[in-house]
Amino acid sequence: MNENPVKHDAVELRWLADGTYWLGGCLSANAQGQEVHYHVSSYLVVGSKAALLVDTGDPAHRALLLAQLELVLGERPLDYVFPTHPEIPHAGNLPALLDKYPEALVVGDVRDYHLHFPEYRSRFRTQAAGSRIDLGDREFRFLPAFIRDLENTLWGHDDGARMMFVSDGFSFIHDVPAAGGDGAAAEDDDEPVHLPGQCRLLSGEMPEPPTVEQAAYGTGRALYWTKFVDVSDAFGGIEAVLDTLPTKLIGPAHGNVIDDVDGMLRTSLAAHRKVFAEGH
Amino acid sequence: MSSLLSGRIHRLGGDIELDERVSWCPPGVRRTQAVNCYLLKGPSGSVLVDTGIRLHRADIIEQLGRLMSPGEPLSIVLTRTEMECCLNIPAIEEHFTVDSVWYTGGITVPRSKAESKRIAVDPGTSMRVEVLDGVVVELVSPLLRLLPTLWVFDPESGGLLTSDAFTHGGSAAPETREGLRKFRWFTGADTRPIARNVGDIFRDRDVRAVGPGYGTPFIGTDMCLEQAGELARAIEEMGIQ
Ligand SMILES: [Fe+2]
Ligand SMILES: [Fe+2]
Ligand SMILES: [Zn+2]
Ligand SMILES: [Zn+2]
Repeated sequence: MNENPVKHDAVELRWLADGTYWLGGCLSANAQGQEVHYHVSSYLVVGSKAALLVDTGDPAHRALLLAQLELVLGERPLDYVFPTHPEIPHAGNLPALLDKYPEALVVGDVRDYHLHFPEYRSRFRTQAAGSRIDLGDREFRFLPAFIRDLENTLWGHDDGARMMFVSDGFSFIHDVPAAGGDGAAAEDDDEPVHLPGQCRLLSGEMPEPPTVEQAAYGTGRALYWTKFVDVSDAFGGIEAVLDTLPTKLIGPAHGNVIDDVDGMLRTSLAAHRKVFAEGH
Repeated sequence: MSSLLSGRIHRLGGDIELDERVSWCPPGVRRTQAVNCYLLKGPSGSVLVDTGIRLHRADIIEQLGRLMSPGEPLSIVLTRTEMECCLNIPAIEEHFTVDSVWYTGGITVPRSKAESKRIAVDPGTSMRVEVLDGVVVELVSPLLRLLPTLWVFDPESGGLLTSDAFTHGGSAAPETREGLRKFRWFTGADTRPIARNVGDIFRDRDVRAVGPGYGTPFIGTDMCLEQAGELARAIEEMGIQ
């Protein structure tokens, strides 16, 4: 048993590219006496016609997120909310967002949301993988989630910033406390962590790129099932998408934004192979 | 609302329409399905295992009101920190005195005013925890999982509350495999250890009722053993080996 008080830190938003912002915050926890963080991120894509938010962030960051949105959007409305999947860190702020922006629609694979938020059911719109939303001077495309937990997860891509949004995928760009050691923590802990001071850094700005060992540590913890399944095929799918959709940035919900796409793909694939090789 | 085991465990919640709007619905299926949470009555308070879906919020508050005496302490145990388990915590806290909320996992911390108690049990093992004065349950960490998951075993009654497993009950022709849609990753995995773990959990305990998070429960020792055997078989068949 492990009583783990979690507090949240106010973190500034970060401008990533034209009309592309990194919002949300970090949650912090105490891992074996050391303070560690994990991102619970949202991304805002602002086009000439419409604005779309990827993931709602955690309810612990509700006020922070609303303030960040206001800062960027000003008087402009938020038009679309795309929760990548119906889990609390990704969809938990839907009520607050839909109340604040009464014209906003919820888009994506919206199965199950009527069970969780029945009062907003008229505002859910299915966007299947492959479909697109016109934001004006840029287009947002929904993608299959190649690495996911819940079945109704989607990824996305914005051709304006050439950024891919990968939800729980690629969430391992962080330092590992007592690197490689599993310490006293049970396997069950599913938070990919970084140290205070590494919030909102691009992968290329981290003090050192993650080693395969570090990436594997985070990967195995964040997505338990990848210990049992060889996900090399999924990487084929990811690479095929990257071949058709030029991508300069990758935005995971719980990791640092990736600005070295090729390098991180290699590290990530190696990490997944390691997790699989050791996990079963 | 119905009593599962001689007044010790009560099933709360309601029905949903199981159709293409529900992610765990097998293709072509259209029927109603129960979504459950469970109240375990202890000597000086009650333990609520999961809190039901928000669609059933009003019903669950009303059902709890009938089962709880005024001021009775309540402890909540979450089998997963998924939406279908935790979204009614704030509403329940408005009406009842919640002592503590037990949960597992890391990313999601349940929103509650009560003390959140995080508990980590290694997959494949279990831990006995006094979740409320006088109520000791065994928190079982199954290999059959997508996200960090606990099954709650009540040694006193033999009730095993299985979260998102054993969810196929209630259809006219229950098919064990239908309850495994959420675990699509099995198709790429060697699932034998996972199947074996299901068998072990039932072999090591006197399970007299299985209470899933959705679908109807299975009652009786023989029935439970039979269902466990069938589930283990279905898990094994789904995998690569
Ligand atoms: Fe997730
Ligand atoms: Fe996540
Ligand atoms: Zn998640
Ligand atoms: Zn941080």
